Amino acid sequence: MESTALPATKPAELTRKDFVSSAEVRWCPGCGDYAILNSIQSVLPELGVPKEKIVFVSGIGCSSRFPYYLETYGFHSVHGRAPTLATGIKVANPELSVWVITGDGDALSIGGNHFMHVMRRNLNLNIILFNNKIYGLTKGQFSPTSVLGQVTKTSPYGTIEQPVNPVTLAIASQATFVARTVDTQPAHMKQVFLAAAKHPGVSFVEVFQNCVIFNDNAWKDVSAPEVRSDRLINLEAGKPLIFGAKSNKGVRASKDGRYEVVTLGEHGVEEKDLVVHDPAREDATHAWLLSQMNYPEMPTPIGVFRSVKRPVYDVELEEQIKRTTAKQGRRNLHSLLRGGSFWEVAEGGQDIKMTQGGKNRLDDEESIADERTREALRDRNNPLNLALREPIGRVFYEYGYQRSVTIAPTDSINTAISLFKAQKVETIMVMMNGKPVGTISQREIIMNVALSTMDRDYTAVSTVMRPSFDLLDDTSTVADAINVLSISSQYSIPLKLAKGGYGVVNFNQILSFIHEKMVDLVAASHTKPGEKAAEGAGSKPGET
Amino acid sequence: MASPKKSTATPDLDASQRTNAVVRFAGDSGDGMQVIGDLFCDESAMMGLGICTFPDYPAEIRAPKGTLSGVSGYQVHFGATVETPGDIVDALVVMNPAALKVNLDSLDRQGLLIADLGAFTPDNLKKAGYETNPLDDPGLQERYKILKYDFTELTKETLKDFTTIKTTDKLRSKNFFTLGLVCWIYSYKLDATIEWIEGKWAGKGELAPANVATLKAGYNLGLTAELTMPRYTVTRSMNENGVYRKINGNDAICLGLIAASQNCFRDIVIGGYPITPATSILEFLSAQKNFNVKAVQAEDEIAAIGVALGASYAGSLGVTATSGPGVCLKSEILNLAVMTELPLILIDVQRAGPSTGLPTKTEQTDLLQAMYGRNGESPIPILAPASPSDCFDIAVEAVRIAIKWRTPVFILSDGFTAHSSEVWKIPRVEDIPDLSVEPIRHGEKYVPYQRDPVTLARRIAIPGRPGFEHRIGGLEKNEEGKVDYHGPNHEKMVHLRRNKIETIADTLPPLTVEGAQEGDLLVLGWGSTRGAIHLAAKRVMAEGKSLGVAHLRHMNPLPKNVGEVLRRYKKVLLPELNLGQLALLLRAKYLVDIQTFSSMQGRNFTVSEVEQKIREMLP
Repeated sequence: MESTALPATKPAELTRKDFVSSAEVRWCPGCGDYAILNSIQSVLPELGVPKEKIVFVSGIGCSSRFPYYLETYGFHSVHGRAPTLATGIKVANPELSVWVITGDGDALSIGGNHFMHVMRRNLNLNIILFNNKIYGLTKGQFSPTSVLGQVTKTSPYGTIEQPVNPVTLAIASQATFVARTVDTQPAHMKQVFLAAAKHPGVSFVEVFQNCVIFNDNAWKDVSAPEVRSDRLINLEAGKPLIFGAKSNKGVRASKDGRYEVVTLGEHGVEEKDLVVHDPAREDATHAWLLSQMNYPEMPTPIGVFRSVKRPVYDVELEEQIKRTTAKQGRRNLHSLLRGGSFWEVAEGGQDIKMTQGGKNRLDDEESIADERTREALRDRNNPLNLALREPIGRVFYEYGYQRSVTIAPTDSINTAISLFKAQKVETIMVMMNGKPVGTISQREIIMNVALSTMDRDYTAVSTVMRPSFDLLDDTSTVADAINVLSISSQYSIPLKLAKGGYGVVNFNQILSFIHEKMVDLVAASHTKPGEKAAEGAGSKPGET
Repeated sequence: MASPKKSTATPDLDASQRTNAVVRFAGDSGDGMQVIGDLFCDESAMMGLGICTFPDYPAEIRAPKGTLSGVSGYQVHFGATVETPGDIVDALVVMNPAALKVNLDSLDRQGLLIADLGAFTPDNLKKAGYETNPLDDPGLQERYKILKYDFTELTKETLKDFTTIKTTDKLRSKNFFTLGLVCWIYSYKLDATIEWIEGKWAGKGELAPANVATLKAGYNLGLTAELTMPRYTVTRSMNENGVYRKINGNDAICLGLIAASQNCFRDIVIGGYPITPATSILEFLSAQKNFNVKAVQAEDEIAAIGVALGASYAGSLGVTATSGPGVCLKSEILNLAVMTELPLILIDVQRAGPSTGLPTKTEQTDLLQAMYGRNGESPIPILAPASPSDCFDIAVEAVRIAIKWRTPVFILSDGFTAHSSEVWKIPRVEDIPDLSVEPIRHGEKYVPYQRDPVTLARRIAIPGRPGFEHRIGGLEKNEEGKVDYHGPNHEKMVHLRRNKIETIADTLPPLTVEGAQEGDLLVLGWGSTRGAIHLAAKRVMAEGKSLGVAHLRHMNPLPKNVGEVLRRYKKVLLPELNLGQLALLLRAKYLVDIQTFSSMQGRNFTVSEVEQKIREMLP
């Protein structure tokens, strides 16, 4: 699991108690929800996320009372719609750790449509579904997960509809993390919730939960202590699918592609014949086949079915904003209001001037500096402005040239660290197929690697580098470069050199350059007033 | 709308003066009518004329060429007193027989009919359902002033020396020939069009010069045929210094929201789902990434408002835009916004209903839905823009109310306002009001439903701020934010929520009346009918009748003086594009008799029908 999905900074140590709210818990005595609440309250302190950055959102149903009992931010919304509110919260503030608490009726019946879309959209949310196969809050009607033939208040002669399998549905909806756990197994629950929290992207967990009043013993046939080793199979990454009280049964792929139960030692079956569980498999076939395994024909799997990495919606949205902003310039209301064409009326209507093709069009990629920057640069006598008008290429040739170091995105973090040490550079350019794809600075190492437990030999540079969308020509001005850096909140920026190849400059170099330039210019203006400062690109490289 | 001179207007050798005129360009979807309509607007603006337009696209996306269903129209009303796109057309340009058939009814008697003779082929006549060529009909020639030229041939002839251009491309420029001619008729210049052409086809070989040549050839046709050609000049209205542009209602709402979002320091998150006629709001905002606008195209209308409300809860400005059928779906989460007292902007671009109804046609039938279409006592402020450019101010006002009172706000626009365009004097950025509210300070004691003594608005702590962790939701709460089912608490909260919305009225400008301040008749309107009602009333007022006209933009709460204003007149006439929804509200609230003038034809009122109704009501 990646640890980059969560803020690396550790807050003051929190304990389970910090997450217990003052609200009186009002579930029925013996309800499975208590165990889940306990489990979540013990998981939250371990996430390293301050509690003000945690939001629990729920829909309607017994399970949806959950947020009231947690001392975090909480939103008890309307029936089935919690994923939509959670989407809005995460989009508005991706820094928040957002959890959705839902039930079988809430998520799969009234909220069925949102369920599918919140899965495929892959926001970094954690969705916990309490499945008790009954409508509890309305006192005992059948739910979309009730078993075929189940007798309830609205199915006095038994249901006549097929139940939905939440895990199968989540996999089919392209969820990137799908797991299942049981309310009677606290250790397993905690482990699954932790893995879900750490997964970057949507995490879906089905919890087998008991409704003591309206559907008691809902999961007893698989989860009762005396039978569970034979009827549940615990999925562990990298391990063969083995179960049974004597650990002598396993799951094998049959010739026609289905999964079947075999007994080790019978008919020459050995451990190597069994399916080895790999939740990271790219194709979903294995996870889907697992989801189709159900007691009594097969053991019912619990654990992590699937955990794969895909682009994360809230991350992509932020990146798209940064990219577009870097191209179009920052917000400029004045020009937005004027739009593509406008008329300036003067002299009481006698003088009308029209402007067509305003500069705020989407396809206008040339202007990077926004109007304010340009305005500020008009004063040609200000030494700061003169320094800002210099081509950024000069900064590179004068300060960065000898020290441009490159690395491949597939190199390890340790390679990068050793380069930083050996070359005494602050920024390394990440190159792939001869093109810059990003930069990595000491800051990225400190922020993402230093305090984490990631394997520095194994983890690739690409996981912590700053991807570069902004490639400046070396003839662009220093002001352009500063503008792009401030928009994209990057520390350094790659340059396309007129002589061919690429270079990188960072903030420190730009500051040093401006400083020295200003000192020179001020000194020059004292000795030779009126002399025009040197302009234009194509300055000499310092040394090769 | 007809100019006063029009009924006597006969072709003049000199350019005859008019206060206003209406031109409609009509042709096949592929004839470029929207392009020349837009450019004609630009040229009008260059002459200092006010403009108001209404595009008329075919309902089908790709209707067959030359057929009645494929006719695309663009109507421009220009001149000094322009408040509607115009009732009756003064000059109709038809590029084929189908366009003639669809649009002839709207042409004024003795109006100008300009037809492309080259497109009146037997095949095209048959597609339009004509057995003989209507242009040869002596009756037609008697009723209208007809200018028929073979624009196809004339364009080919003009471009015969442009050897690098294919004939099919040459024929594409015939719309510019037409535009040139119409520009001559209204004494326009061609500068804006030439600049546009040169920008559009810059570096594309002979295309730019060829289109300019066609445009000029059309103009010169007017010059050379001067003796038979009518020519007019139209009174200018853009006399105030400033910067102007053309804008439609949906775009103006978007600009208003963005301006307001900057001034309340909240980024916009729009949750949207495509629905006519609101879709262009989602499209526009989706493109404003460099204003940090986050657009989520949701899986349905419910999810769209859920996203918006979630975003508002997390500190953004949550926005969702839809039409009536979408409002039906959104009402549950709208109520959640009422209960949790969070800011939210809901734009309802009304269309003709019920159900799918007439999706592309306008109506004002969602007022009662906005007022009462939810379970429980659920007060929501409602605003209605009076014109396309007013949408900007309404959007800013909606955000002011939403942020300050922590409430969802309805903007009731409509299909007419959404798509018609008019000239807008662009406000200076520094004149847009500051909408920020005092945030909770670190370390303060936070009580989720503690209220401001003046506005009665609750205080909001946004997730991410340490020390203010709390829970909200759709269940009734007490002041501490704890779930509370007790009757007395519920009653108290119901009154508080209602009274909170009522305090908004303390900040509203009073309803003002133009014309007689008391007397025989008050004509009251709301929303997009303002142009037609105002012009109609002014026509009658010009005759010295005891008549006042007023317009409501704040539908809930109403300005405080509405009851008092209504009682100053013997009769009140309320034209509405519904069966009398506002009248119902006002009668109930003020016990004043109000006469509804209803129109439910999927279009806005014409000036003349309102004028006629006013005359009927006057002694």
